[in-house]
Amino acid sequence: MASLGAPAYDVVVVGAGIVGASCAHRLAEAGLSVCVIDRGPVVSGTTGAGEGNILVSDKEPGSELELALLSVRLWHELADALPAAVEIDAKGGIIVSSSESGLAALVAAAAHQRAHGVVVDVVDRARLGELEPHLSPAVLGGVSYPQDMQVQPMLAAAHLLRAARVLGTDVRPRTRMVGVERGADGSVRGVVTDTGTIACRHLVNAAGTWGGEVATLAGGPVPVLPRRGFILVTEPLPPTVHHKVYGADYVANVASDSAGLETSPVIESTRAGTVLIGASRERVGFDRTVSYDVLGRLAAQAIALFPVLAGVRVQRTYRGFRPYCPDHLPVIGPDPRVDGLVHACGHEGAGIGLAPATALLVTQAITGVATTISIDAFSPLRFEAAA
Amino acid sequence: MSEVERASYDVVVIGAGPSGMAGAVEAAAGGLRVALLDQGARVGGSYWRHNPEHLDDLADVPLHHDWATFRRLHTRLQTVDVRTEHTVWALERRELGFRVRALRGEVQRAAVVLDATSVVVATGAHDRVAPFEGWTLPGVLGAGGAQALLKGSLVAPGDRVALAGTGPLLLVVADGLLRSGADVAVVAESGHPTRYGLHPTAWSGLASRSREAAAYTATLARHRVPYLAGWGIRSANGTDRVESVTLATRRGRTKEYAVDALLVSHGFTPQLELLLALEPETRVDGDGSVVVVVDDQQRTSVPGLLATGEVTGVGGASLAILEGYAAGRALTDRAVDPAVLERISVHRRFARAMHAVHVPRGEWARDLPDPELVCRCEEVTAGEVRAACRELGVDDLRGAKLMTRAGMGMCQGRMCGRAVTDLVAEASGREPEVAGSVRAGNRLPATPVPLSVLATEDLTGDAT
Amino acid sequence: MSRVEPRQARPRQGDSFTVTVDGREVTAYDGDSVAAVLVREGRVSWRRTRHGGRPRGLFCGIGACQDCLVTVDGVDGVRACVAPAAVGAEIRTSDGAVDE
Repeated sequence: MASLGAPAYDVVVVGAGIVGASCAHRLAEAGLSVCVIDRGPVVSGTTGAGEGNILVSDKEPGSELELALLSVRLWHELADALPAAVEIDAKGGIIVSSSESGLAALVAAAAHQRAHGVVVDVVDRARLGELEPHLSPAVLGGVSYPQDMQVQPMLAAAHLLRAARVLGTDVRPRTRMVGVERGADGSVRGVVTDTGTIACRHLVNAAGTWGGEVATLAGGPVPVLPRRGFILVTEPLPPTVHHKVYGADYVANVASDSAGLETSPVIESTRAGTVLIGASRERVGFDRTVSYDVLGRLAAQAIALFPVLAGVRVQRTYRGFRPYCPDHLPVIGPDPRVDGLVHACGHEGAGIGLAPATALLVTQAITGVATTISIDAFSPLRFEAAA
Repeated sequence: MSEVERASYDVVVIGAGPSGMAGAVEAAAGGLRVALLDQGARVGGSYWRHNPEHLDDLADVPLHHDWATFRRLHTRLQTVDVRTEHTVWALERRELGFRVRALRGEVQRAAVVLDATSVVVATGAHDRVAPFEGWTLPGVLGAGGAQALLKGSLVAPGDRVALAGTGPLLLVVADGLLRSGADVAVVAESGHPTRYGLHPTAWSGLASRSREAAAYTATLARHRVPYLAGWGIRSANGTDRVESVTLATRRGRTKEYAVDALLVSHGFTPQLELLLALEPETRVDGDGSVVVVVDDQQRTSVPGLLATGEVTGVGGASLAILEGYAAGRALTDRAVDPAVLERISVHRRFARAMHAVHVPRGEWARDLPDPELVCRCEEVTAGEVRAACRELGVDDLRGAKLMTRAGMGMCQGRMCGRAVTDLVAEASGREPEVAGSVRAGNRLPATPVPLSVLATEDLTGDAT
Repeated sequence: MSRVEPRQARPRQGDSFTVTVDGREVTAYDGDSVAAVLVREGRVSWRRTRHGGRPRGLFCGIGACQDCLVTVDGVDGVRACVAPAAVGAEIRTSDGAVDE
């Protein structure tokens, strides 16, 4: 066991996914000594099952949208710093509807978002045809969000970790946290792992869907639960879908409290030429069994939006478990119950998009700088108040 | 919306090679309603690939092995619902059994859904080819695949053919080519078959194997085909197709042969894709393959799911037939003759000896040049995989897939999975995680499936 | 450049019929896969890879590698080694195929 005299690291980041990698990078840039641990290989959690969404379109005006707008700005900065292999693409997103009432709701929501700083344009059917020639004639119109972006999330996380390593960060994969060493005053003194204790002043909980477990081990529990999603991947195609295209139900599903299955179409292309088709949300714990009716519904919805996809073949499917909190907001910031514990998890399906802003706020909190935006809404204590 | 054909059976056997045929026949003989599926247009699998003339015309029988057994089983298939041109894309476990989802017709791709109380997976194996410089040149083929072409259509893969790699298949295919009038330039075996002598008990009870091996060697000698033991493949050479092959010994001696086809076998890779989704217990066999664990009734750890043939361990057609028979008996609650169980052990002992002798050269991963492809579908080079290990901390197959796209192409890692695992191990200094490659192989669907077929699974039918 | 003699190891006695390959009439035999028809013609490759434009044809020969893909009767992505040659089938290979 390491000596608990001078700390070996300023910060141990638990979790080597996109949020952990972003935090490590930002902390290292701020001059702190950082060690990243993960119970598995790097990027072995939900980041590896992500589509790579960086969205403002699906965020509720308020603290969530504020976080997203900040994060999109930071992704643009990262685009200059990270290699092209990371495939950051400012392709924009379009929400479409096939009903008049649906369209009206989209336009109303768009006006509300516009008032809060989102760039959003109503798109008529003719313009929609120019933007997405293969959209079904049944689609009546839509709303476009030029700020929505795409990235290859695994490579982004891996390159952020690499950049952090260049700045002196240690990355220890296959190292499982089993507890926390706390001083007499209750503050964090070290992270206990299955290969020994790592002395540190701060513990950043960036363990995604397992953030609840880590939080409990650290003495500051937060309710992070899994929400399963499936994605279909098609064979490589010539350019067919040019933006992220969502069905109008997407936003409602993200915010939904339903335990049951929520599906709504999310369709986009990748640089590799494949088309990714989502999205489903279910609260089934960590059940990994394939649900054929979910896959079927995703397929049917995709064909309804893009009839040309009917004969296109799915070459792969995969699933992931999004980390969500009951109010669909992440947990970001210091935990008053445990001095030195800082949370950075519970981002549900928006972890990739929100990672840079999370990293900035976490770094500001640890270095004692005023946070760029308020993090009160993301406090780990909010669940106790509600209970 | 696509039409879906549905049916129910007591047993669905997937794969109509030797073990699938034997299992289906035996289960039907016990009174069960059995369906036998195969992606091919005819039964027989790879081992008994044939063309319609062979059923009557005996002239090409020397190309075939155990042909009398095939004909006997083929006749008894009348009691089985034989569904050829069915490619299974998913196997699902349900409350009262299993659901088998298939596409009928390689071109038509019609949806077929079959329910069964029990399933026997007999999907066999494909050639394993460890990458070497030039392996993606046209004219470089898996030896087993080339043999299927020969048996199925009497077409040779080239005018002047070299065979190289390791394993008994090389001699068998060389023999078939020579009997068909093709020109074989050389047969190169990288192992040392004299090592069979180290496993004397393996040969007891299988004297027929020594006779076969001697016969093949004699055929090669008669045609003056050089047989080089201890020689491996250095490179296949050519611009848009293979024009020559360079062979090399471990010490670095080389020989070059002008050829227009190079048939390669480094053993076999069992095709476990359909089984993996159900997470049966698996193990790593002596040849490094991941195979499914079965008891002496061919049952996997998943109730109602049986497996026979190469997926339980590469061991050849005779063993596969015996296993199929045992599965068929088990499904109909009839005992298996102890003599048969003894034969199965004898074959498994022999297979273990083969695995010990015919190990592809371990150095291939280190020797593969950086610019050479390791993933054929996504065209990922060895250098890219090594860079990902060096720079991005990749140290397992899953990481390599996510960071380099190796294994994310149309074949979903079937051709490169094993190779990338070994390459990553070599580059990252860790032991190859063969079992991990199984988990990374989440292959649903097992073959590409049209969205319109998937859409038939939508129960609500109100997707808009 | 086409071969002068068909690459046929033994003369076939079985039923023959006609298919078209890239618009040309070609003889096929009962039991042939599409790949057998192409290889008999002397074709060693019949498509190009997406990124590098490398020629590909038959590799594994049993439907696992997805290298041998052709278009049959307008349907893309057909495995030539699995698909049986059918009477009158219109087989199309992608450009740049290498003949002998």
